[in-house]
Amino acid sequence: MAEPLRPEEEEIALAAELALGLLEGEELAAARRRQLADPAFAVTVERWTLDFAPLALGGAEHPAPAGLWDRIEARLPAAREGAAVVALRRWRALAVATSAAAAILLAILLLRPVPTPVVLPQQPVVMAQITGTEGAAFAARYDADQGMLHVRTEAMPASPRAPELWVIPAGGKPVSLGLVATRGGRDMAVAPAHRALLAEGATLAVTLEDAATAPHAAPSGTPVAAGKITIL
Amino acid sequence: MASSTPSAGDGARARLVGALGDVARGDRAALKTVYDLTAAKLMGVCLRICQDREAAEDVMQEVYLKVWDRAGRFDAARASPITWLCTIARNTAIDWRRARGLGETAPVEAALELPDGGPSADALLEAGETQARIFECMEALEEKQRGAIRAAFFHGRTYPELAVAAAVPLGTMKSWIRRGLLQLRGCLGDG
Repeated sequence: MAEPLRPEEEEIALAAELALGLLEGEELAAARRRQLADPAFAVTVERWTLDFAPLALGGAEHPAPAGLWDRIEARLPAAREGAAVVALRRWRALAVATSAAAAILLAILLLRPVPTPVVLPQQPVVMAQITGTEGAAFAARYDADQGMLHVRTEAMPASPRAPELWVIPAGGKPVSLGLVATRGGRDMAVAPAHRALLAEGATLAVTLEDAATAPHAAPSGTPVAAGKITIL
Repeated sequence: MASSTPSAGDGARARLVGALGDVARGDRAALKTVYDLTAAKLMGVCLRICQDREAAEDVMQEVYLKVWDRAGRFDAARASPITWLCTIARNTAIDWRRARGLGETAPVEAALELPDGGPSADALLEAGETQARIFECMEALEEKQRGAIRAAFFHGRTYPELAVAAAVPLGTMKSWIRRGLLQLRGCLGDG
């Protein structure tokens, strides 16, 4: 065997392994956890991804089958012409921009049964920070078995209004999960109908709303914190 | 919008960037434009990893639905549009392989053994990747390292799969590839 890698080499190699998809099982889970918890490591992974990406240009093309576009179009969110759709997409773009501006990838970690042979510790507890640009920060953890979302409010801009949590399915519209605490933690039972929305690719966002009339059918303002759901 | 001549590199890139911007604003016709410009390329990406036509078609649907949802996050300053789209396709196809169970991937069909050599000058120009240093750096690797890294990139192969394919111990395969990756980083530069 070759001599062991130095720690900085180890980190560079691990980031490349994650970017390339070489890892399996517990090694993959551990690297993904580190990617979420260690911003410097996440940047190294991103760098590799961007460096490797042009290789794809060397791959041969293959004609897509006739009818594939029709199948894709049929799965797009129903076309609803008019201001509502435009406003929604703008709102969603803002939700994404909010998290990007903060250079923080919101990570709500959803725990789900992991297929064998991946072995994880029993009852893993994974938490993540959700941070926006206006001094709002939340930490959240979802227990899929119980359907409970545990949300802790770390920081909140002073406001007469209350923080309301939304899940925005990929391509869909925001659905309220209810109010989270202005300070401290709150356990939120997620309605069975909403549990499927807590899936990879969905966005979670917090807006400030009138507590008296919550939950609302739609957000009234721009998010104070937002980001994509990541599943480990 | 720029020239629509297919060989006009900057034009093709600009059209794709423009279409992605329209998709981000909810323009369904623009997604069709993105599809028309990129489906053959992304189908190649998905097919190499999935090794199954039906699966590749399913993955393609997921890919363009992701593009519909994520177009607003494309940043033309950081990546060319076609490589950004290829990355989405690659990751989606790899997720499909993992969800299915890595070991169950069918043997490589001859018809699906799509070549994955270097890109043509036209392709690079079209993508705006005139300085894609990764190609030079890959060429500088030893053959066994280059082959393994290519198999990982183009076919989504993992360490254990590569070790089995090369009939070497897992630790040996890891050691080869890690040395190759560090050599690549040295060649690509830190900044």
